[in-house]
Amino acid sequence: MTALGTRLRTIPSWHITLGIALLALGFLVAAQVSSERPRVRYTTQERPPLVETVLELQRQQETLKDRILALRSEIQATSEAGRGSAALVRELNDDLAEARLAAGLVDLVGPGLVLQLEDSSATPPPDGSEADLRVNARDIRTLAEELWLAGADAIAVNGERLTATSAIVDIGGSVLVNQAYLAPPYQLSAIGPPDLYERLSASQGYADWVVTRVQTDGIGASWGEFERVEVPAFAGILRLDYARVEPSPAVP
Amino acid sequence: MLLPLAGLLVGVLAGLVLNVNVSFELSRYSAVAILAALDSVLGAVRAELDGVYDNRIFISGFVTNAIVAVMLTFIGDRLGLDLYLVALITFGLRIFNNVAVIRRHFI
Repeated sequence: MTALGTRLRTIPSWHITLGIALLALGFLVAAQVSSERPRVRYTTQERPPLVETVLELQRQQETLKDRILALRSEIQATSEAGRGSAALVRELNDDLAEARLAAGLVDLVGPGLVLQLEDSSATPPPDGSEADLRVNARDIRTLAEELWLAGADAIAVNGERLTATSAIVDIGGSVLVNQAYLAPPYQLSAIGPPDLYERLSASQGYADWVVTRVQTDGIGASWGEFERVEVPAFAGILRLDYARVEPSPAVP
Repeated sequence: MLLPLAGLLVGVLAGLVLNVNVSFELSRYSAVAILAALDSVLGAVRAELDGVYDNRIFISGFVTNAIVAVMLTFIGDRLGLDLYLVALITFGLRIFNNVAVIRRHFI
């Protein structure tokens, strides 16, 4: 112990200090080098795998680009097909609206004419029939036919729309139009051209009816022309049990 | 002169064996600290050869230079300036000067 102590005392103090400093320096350098090693290896030895990875990623990117382009064209095709479908749907809706209009299933408004018919107030002659003094289904049918001929678009009798399947028949003392029993006075509302009454009065059928029924039997008939005549929609049941639409050859 | 060399050897071996890993973010700080320490060590050797070595000056210089260099680098990072270059250039020049003086002592 004495020899070692003596020997240690002979070592200069700056050697000890420098030794400790170099120990710290060496430790730092070794730590730094060992830390740098993986990074260096990563950039040198691992370069081929990295290049392969990069190439693989580039290939994936190219594939994804192609996929994007394919999907984009698919979207465009689908969108165009959608536009075609939309056009078809719009066309079908237009057809349907037109069909509903023609079938009398929608309310209509327009310029037109209102004819009012009232039973005669005259005393029935002893040799005549009392029924001739009342407005009957034939009167309404005649006027409706004359109105159609004069160019009417839509006709309603006391709010009952005349359609392709409408029947106007006498039931007792009233008139049955569609499924409704109507009582006098009867109002025929017709939408048509502004000169609808002129056309109507110019027709021979109307003139004959006026002579026979108004002037002879005393049926009350009055009329008025209006800028706005309302013709309500057909409110009954529209059933076609046997009629079928002929398939169009253009439709598969 | 064997003791300083033994200290260096032990330090290197300890660093390698203990496998201390300096993270990538801190590697610049440790590199600057190493440069500062190397400058101080070479300065000590030069001072000893000149006969003006002082233990306190060496130890304080060893620690202070390393700390200042690391702080300079840290501040530079925060300011977006490469302030560590200042430490690198300064310590680099001093290392070359010290080595030149030491070399002349042995020639």
